[in-house]
Amino acid sequence: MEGEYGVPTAPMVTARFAEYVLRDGRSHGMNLRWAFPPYPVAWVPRETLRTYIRGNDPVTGLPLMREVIDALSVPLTEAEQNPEIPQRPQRPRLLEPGNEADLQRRFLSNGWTDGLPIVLPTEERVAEMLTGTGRDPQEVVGMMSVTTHEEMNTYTVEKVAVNAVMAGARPEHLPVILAIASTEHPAMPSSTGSYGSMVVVNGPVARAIGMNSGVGALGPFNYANAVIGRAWTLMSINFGDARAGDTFMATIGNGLSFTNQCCAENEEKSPWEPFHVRQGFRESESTVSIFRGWSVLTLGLGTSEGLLASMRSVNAMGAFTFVLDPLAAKALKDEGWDDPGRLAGHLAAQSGSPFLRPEGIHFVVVGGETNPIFHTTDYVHYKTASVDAWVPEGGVRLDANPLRMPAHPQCEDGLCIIGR
Amino acid sequence: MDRHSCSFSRRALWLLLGAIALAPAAGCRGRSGASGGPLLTVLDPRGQPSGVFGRRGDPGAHMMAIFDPETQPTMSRDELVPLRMAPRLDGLDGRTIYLVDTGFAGGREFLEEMQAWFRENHPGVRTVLRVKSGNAFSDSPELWAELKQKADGVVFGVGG
Repeated sequence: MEGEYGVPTAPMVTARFAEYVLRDGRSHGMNLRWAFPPYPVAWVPRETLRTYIRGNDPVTGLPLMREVIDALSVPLTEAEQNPEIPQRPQRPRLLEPGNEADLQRRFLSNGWTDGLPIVLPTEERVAEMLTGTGRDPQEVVGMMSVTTHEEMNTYTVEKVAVNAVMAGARPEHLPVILAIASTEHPAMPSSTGSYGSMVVVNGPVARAIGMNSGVGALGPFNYANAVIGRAWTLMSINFGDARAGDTFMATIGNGLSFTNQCCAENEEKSPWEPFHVRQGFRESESTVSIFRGWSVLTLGLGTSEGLLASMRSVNAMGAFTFVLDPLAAKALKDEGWDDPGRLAGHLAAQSGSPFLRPEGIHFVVVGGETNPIFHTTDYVHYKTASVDAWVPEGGVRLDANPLRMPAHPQCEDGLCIIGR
Repeated sequence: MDRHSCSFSRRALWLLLGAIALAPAAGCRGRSGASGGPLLTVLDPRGQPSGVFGRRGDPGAHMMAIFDPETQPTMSRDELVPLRMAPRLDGLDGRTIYLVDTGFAGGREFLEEMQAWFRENHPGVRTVLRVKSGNAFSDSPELWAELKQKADGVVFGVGG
């Protein structure tokens, strides 16, 4: 409107988003003349809106309508006539040295962590982490932003290793973390809707690094699941530049974002082909599959009617990913659904949603066979990426005595053998 | 780490003096806090500026496409041109100002109240209220054409 049509504008956004739009404008060379009414303007009485209009912009303290009129009629300043796009400086490789406490404080107060203590990425620790892959530390893995418009940040293998160290990971986890980084998907895109994410690992690497696909797989009971999921969040913060209330506008936030939903698929107990095979990979390959939506919406028990009932009970239109205990998956197979793709087609047709397509419905088998439960999520499956591409020659680099949390009692078809 | 180095210092003091440790625990903690243990060199965890920016998606794309790096449209710093702003009006009297509801909840009601404010406070300004078609993120070429032809200025609102 301004540049091509020559029509002056007075854009308005609520004060809650003032910093967001101002920074966006600066980074894109758009010096728009914003006015910021108080927040919110939705679902408030008319009298409140009239108060806003007669009152001041809470950001500038100036009368709101004076700003609107001035935006359209005050001549352009020198800076407005000659806008520039600022160039952000490159980051240093090493930070100013400090002691443990100072550095923990620096990382935390700079917003480089998830609020929990981190393992400091010393040169020695990062060098050790890099033994977990055969790739050049300076190789660029990808670029990422939690926003859809800001300048993205690139990251190298070494930068991924830094964040892996911070998450508490070991070299054995690095190929999986690099595979996640290679998708270029932040775990926390900046949406007011507060997204959650899930990463599912398939193939031999899951067993090699001791991931949990059984009892409590999505809970805090497995080292690999926890640190891999946490590394994804730290990468989203540090590569995606997630800053709450600034670049990251999730109004409520999502508790899943601390470690995301990170687990392996229970391929051994699943009655179906593994998820990654259904995406075109070989069973012998290892992969990560990235999912994202708002959350786990509801749960149910067994059978396709149960799946349909849960779909109809929740407010999701475009996608469903069911996280099924193996008993639930077996119940579905016993019902005749030996092909998840065919089941997806059936559910899409019967759901009553005009937006739902079979390719938008997915099934992941996770759990310890303690109940034929499924979780219904609105997750979209975005990508499945190779882990093998990041594994060093000679295979996953395990520690001499790998760290493992206690193993859980194994269950077989609902029967748990306590004390095994 | 601080606690361990502190107790080690205290044990060393015992051995050296052959007497009770003279340094009170608080002083020990203070010394540890002041020196804080050895200096560590750590690597920067942040990504590097790429010179690649996201931009508005294809209006016809899947609703989630904007979040997918493989379908999210981008532009490089070289392609990014600073916005040239339009010359401003020499006053609003006798002008036609469009008030465009961009589709966020509450926007239309807010602009209706703004229109009433103009009528009351600046009756010489002609205001036209329009609600953009589609949603807040979709294109509206027909409205843009109308604005180009008829608007002297436009108030867009209310985002967020």
